[in-house]
Amino acid sequence: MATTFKTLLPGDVIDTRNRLHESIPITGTIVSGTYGPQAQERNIKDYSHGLFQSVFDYPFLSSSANHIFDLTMGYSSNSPISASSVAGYKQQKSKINIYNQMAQVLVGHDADGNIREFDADGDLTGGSKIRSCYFINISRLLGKDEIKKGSFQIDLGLEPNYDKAFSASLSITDTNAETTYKTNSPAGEYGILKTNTLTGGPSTGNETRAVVSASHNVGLIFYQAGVVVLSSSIFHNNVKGDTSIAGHGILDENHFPEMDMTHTASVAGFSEPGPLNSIFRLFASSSISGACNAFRHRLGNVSFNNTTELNSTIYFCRANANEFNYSSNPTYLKDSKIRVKADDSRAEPVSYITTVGLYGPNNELLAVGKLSEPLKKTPSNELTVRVRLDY
Amino acid sequence: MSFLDNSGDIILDAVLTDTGRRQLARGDGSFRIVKFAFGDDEVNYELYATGAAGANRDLDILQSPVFEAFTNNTSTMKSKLLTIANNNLLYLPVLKINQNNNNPQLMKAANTTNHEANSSGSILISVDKTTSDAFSAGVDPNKLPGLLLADGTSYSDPAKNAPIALDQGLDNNATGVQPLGIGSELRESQYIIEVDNRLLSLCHPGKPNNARPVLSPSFIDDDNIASYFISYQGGQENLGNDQYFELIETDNNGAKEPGTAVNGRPGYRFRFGLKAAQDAETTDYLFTTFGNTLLLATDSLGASGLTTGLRFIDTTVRITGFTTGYRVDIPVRLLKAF
Repeated sequence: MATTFKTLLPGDVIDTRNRLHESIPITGTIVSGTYGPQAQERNIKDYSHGLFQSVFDYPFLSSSANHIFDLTMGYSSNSPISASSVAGYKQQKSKINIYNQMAQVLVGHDADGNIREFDADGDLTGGSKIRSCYFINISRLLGKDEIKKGSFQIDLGLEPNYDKAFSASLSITDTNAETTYKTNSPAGEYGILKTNTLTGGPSTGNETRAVVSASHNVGLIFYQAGVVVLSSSIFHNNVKGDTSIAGHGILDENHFPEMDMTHTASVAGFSEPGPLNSIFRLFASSSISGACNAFRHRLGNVSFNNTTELNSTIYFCRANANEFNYSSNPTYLKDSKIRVKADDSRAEPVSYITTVGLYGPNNELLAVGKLSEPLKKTPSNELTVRVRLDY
Repeated sequence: MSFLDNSGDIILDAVLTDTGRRQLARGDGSFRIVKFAFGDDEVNYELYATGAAGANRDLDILQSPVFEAFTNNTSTMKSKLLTIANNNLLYLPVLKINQNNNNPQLMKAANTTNHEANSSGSILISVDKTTSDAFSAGVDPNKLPGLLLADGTSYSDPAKNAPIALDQGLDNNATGVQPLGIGSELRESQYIIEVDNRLLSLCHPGKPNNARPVLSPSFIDDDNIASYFISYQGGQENLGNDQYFELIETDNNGAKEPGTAVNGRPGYRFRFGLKAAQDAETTDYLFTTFGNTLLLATDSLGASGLTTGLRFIDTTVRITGFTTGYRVDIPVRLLKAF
């Protein structure tokens, strides 16, 4: 019986699962500076609700723009920043709401239904809490299914002088997270972000600069959720930081005096005159978007590897020696005579494969594969074409 | 669609077709791959140099660039490779439209005298009764010999009700003209017919126009192409000139029967009826959206019912042999008076 189709047998169909990684480098100048002056960048989208800002890789009004990440900040109602005695506070309710929203999704609730706070070491039973922080919500376009553990790095400029922010650049990573990641989050696995290396240093005095702890816990990264939580303590020195963190901040007060976070009072969104030279005051009295602008000014390169889970089905399309040796191509015949045989019926039939069609039970073409060059098929050879469909 | 890079290792570029994606999105389990076929759409076998030595015979074929995969399911796998156990065949069967014996005809230049509607090389089909009445009453049958009145009304001229007929078999009498054996693997007994579901439906060929049951398609793809699968169920009762399949015999002298389209050993004659789909018959929307217009003088039509002109849509009816893979695309022009 002549036939054009061949049924796939159970042994011809295999399911596999693979993980595909892409390297994602985000340069700091994209985040701040390339598309306009500070707080006026055309690739930064602020919303009228003022709860977060979106960062694009190109002016966001262009259809070529791709969403990179969202940036916001907040603090816990248990943070001293939330005290009503803090002068000139702004959007306090919104900042607490943001913190709580992020915390309930990423850390969950305790046995009494109360929202847990972010924990610096991932041990929810105690220890230091991260009560004031920035949140970087990486877009799915970049993060894909998850961020690869152990691949994340973010560089922050910690030089107190606003104009030379990256004279002291701190690298923060999730080193060794491949084996030390935590699993007690309702939003999937997460790792601890630790301070890594400090390059450069304070411009004044040329002191021997140091991070208080060479490997301080300064944040969390939620791999499947694609969220980075960075403690404000990164910008504190060890005297004036968030008192909820041991030593307040991670920087040596002698070498890192309070940072100039906003440079000038003319920047929109700040309620206090003069430089807001403290992250504490910035969190309290700046708008969310203003605090995010200040953060972006000190945000250097970000890099990570994303992960795409590929579920694949492999179809082994086997052409045995006696199969698929003729063609229904209109050029195959001349007056019904097979061209490739000339006039010799005993000559081997020859055909060429350029395409593989995968069909459903009603003969509907569901998938198609093309070979980069024709494959010769004769009764003297056998071929197996392996077609992989990824989902 | 660009070509695939053929400078290095052989690669396979695979995609889901639009129909595949649609079935996957349904989530009802209808996406199920159960079989495969090989195709050679890009290959031109005329480049096979039978007189050349060894590896030089197919050098041009092997160097043919291959397109990236098309996602449109009807744009690819147009010619399939064929499995036949016998490797010593010199002839393969073809499928030819039978334009004899009052069967619908492709319009030819010889028939275009005084009529503008039949210049397309297509089979003409009127889609509603107004159009059919006008043609039936006023047009010289010799001017439009292949006109099909597909509006579901029966007409006295049997030719106007005729189903489309195709003859399958060897188109070369080098092996004689005796019919292929009933069990021959070269005899085609299963067909897939693809039509635009917005314009045409398939129906049984055996009865008058108004009594032909419209068939249900096997499936309709995302581009509204309906596929019908028709196979010979066996038995003498399913053979005849009022059935899908009919035996083609030789005449009393053992010579080729004059009405046969193929020149050599025939297989079955295959018939099916066409009926205008409801949307084409009852509204002008499709004709005004992607059709064209023929503005005709009334006298050139010879039909009093056509006062202004005709709208028309050109489409194709594709018939593919399921086992032999041979495919014929029949051009069709749908006509609607306005």
